[in-house]
Amino acid sequence: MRFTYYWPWWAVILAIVTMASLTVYAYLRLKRPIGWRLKSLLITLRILAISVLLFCLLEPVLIEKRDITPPMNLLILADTSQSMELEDVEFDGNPSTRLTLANHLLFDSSSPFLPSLEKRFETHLYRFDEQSHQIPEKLNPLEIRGDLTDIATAIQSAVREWRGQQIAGVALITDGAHNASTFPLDDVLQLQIPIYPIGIGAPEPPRDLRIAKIEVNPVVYAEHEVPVYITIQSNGYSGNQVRLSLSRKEDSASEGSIANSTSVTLTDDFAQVFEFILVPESEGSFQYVASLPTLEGEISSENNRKVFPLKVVKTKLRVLYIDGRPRWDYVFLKRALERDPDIDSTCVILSSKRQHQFRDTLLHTTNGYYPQSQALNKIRRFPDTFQELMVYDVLIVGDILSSTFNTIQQAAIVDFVEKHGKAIIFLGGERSLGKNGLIKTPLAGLLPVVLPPKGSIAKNEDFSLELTPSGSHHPITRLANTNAVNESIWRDMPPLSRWLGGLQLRGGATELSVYQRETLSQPIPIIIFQRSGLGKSLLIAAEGVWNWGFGVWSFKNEDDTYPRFWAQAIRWVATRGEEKQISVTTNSPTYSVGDIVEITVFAYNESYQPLNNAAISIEVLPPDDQPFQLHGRANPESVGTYKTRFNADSQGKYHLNASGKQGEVVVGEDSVEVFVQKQFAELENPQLNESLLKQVATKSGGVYLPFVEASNLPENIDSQQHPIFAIEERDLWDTPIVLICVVALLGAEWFLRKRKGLV
Amino acid sequence: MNRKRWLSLDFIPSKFCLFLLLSSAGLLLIGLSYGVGGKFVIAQVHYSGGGDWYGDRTTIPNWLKLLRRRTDVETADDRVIVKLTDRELYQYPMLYIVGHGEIRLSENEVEALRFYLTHGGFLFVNDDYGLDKSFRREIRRVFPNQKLQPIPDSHPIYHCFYDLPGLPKIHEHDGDPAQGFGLFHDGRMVVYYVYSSDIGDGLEDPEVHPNDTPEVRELAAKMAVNIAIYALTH
Repeated sequence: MRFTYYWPWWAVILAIVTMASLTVYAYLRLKRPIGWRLKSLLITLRILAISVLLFCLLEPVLIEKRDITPPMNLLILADTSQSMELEDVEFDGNPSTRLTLANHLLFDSSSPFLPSLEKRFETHLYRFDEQSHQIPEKLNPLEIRGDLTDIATAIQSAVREWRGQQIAGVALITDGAHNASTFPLDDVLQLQIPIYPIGIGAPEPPRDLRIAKIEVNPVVYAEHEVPVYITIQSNGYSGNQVRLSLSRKEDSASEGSIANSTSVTLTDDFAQVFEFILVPESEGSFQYVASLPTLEGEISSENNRKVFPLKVVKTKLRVLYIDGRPRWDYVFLKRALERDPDIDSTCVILSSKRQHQFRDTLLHTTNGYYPQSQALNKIRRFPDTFQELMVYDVLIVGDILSSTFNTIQQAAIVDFVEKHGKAIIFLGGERSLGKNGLIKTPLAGLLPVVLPPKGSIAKNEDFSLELTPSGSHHPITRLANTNAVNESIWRDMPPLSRWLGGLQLRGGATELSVYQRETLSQPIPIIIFQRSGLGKSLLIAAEGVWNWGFGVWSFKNEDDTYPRFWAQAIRWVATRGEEKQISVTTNSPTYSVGDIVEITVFAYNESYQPLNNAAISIEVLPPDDQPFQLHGRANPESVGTYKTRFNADSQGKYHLNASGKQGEVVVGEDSVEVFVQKQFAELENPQLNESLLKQVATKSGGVYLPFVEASNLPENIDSQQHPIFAIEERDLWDTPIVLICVVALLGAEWFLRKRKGLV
Repeated sequence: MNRKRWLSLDFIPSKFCLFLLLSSAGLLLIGLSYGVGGKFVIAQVHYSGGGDWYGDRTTIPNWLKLLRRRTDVETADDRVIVKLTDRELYQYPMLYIVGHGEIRLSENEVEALRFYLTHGGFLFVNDDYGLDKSFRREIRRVFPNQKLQPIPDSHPIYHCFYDLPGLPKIHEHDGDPAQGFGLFHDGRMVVYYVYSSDIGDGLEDPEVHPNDTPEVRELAAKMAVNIAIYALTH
């Protein structure tokens, strides 16, 4: 209790003594004779009444402390991913699925599991696969929902909902088959909440035979051998003989005739890899199917077949590479081109010296061409006529001077690219981009950069490249499947040795990589491309690219970066059929159910300059659902590029039809197909992962319980709480009892005095 | 500051410090440089075994000058020296080994040289008289399953810039005919070894071997140009 008006103790006593003294004094002076008992009683009543009033004047308040600690929360997460559908446990002596056990544990009226927990905790039930979802009605049995399992994300998202409240722990009813990523244990431990996994399922891998992986170049050439590597894994069928077949899918319903097959003796000890050789006869986009028979007792037959796409193009690409001097960039690229089985290359070096300067050399007889292993009369020369040049698909122009090509050849090259949709790659160097180089020729118009009026100045400096946002996803510079790996590859590339200054990007050019020099505010463009008329031009404005093919060995033992970069660059610039003003692509030709399909649409005007104000719409035709419409959003980082995405929820072939408009004018249309197949991750390692669950339990401060011991969960959960108290104050003076007391005391005194005739 | 003060003795310590500073900065730049700004250079191998790996001091500078003047190759001015186990080895796709005496490679050097040659490098070996036995022994360790093959006169290395009848004979040595040998990987000649020819000596400054006639020196020059052009085009 406390008083609102604080008086010092002596003042209170003084007031009481004063009042008491005055009362006693008044009664002692009373002339009428009354007995000392009555007098004492009257004095007492008066003093009590005054004391009560005095007490009220101090406004006494009663303080009450109340325990308001809420019950502890317990989050119960039940796995509903597909692996829970496996029938590898027993219930009541009968084979049963894992989910049946979970449902029994949670919802069977005979199961004491949930009631015993509810006695001590406020329970909240969730189902989870990749995410957790709260179940509002606890009586409904769980159903299989998800194609992937992400235990960590499920825990994190459930806990996030109860942030700020006391959580006794997370009970996890699962098989532990986390397959969405590497398990981020540290992220889960950061929650500082004990996890209590209840493991369901058999710890031994189930009997299964599956096609684990197919490796094949997605773009191949007609009438050329295509190696296809198929990896199969088996468990529980060691010694069995099966036939592995490869066939072409004729339509969505049927599989065509078997293209190849082999007999396989299965082993459980390791993954087996088989090589098939396909020889596609005609060009086009095809789907092939690798399949294995279904064996008795297999956990799933769906993973016994796998579909993969194959784009067959007409023939080898013909590449002509001309350089102006022998150099390492020349010879390393020449070797890479010669080793590429899909490229038919011709590499020449044309000297820039005058005829008299090499009169005693072989160049005198070859008109300045360096002999390279050919008989002198068979040395390839740069074509003199447009018809000869048209034999090639891609022209690579190295570090040359303006005098390398005569005017007829220069005009032929411009027509080759702009009018006939062929491709040109410039390997920029001190000569070609300098004052005596391309700037003096019509070829400068094909460059995706504008050269300084007096040509570019070369700077000798070791430098590394950085990918631009466009470069991170572009088929030329995409050297790995994931962004992180791709970026690390580019970060680790050996440096280049010379860059060219003063280059200005043309309007429609796209930078794929740059040199971010500390002393310059603007990055220096290094790998740039643009549409040039109907064709494409690519510029590498640096020297020393050979370091990616040789210098890289100073710190790596295995690397295919250099040939891969060139193969991708040449294939991309040479890709035909891109004359369309609207071109649609996706980030992959195949997906698994649930994946996000990222769509990129490129829009160009009639002169093939990028369009930045087009209205792009994409009609998506799912395999077994209603078509729907998407709209491409302009990518601010790349003019003329529009992006959008959708979730591939259905298995089968999706048709994407893109169309572009500028105002009311139709710019063009393009279409592409993607194939979505069933997600098999749930069947890859579906056995009970006790080691993961035990690790999570131990490190988070929880306990792992096998299913048979699930009833012991309540006593294993530490329910010690931090108590919470509420402080409440109640006014004592402002209650009727006080008035009643005062009236009663004064009334009693008045009544007694009245009886004795004192009033 | 006048010239007299700059040259005066009391200013020497400051000049010396400045010189040291500039030298160290220069060395630092050389140390950090990757290659030589895109210019062609030949790296002379500092090998073990006691042989005079450092010989032919003027050979590479003269060789590079020849290439600069006679061909379109853009070259550096001087040689660089590397050990086979140096990380910098892969900045130089062409190596030069020369000597009169013993060459002996450690296991690490054998591994490094094999990796270098099978991943794009080229090695030119010049027997300066006395290197033959130990070099053949060591290169057998590098490629145990291959033998040095005699290079015929029709090989492109003799016809890729100058049209030569074969390997020229520069120095007498034991009087054996000049012989060129090669080792191949994936169809590419990765080692070119010249025995009893001494192209290296033929490229040295004239005062180093005053008895060499200009005609002989010219033969060495032409062969040297062909070797470098071969490496840069094959």
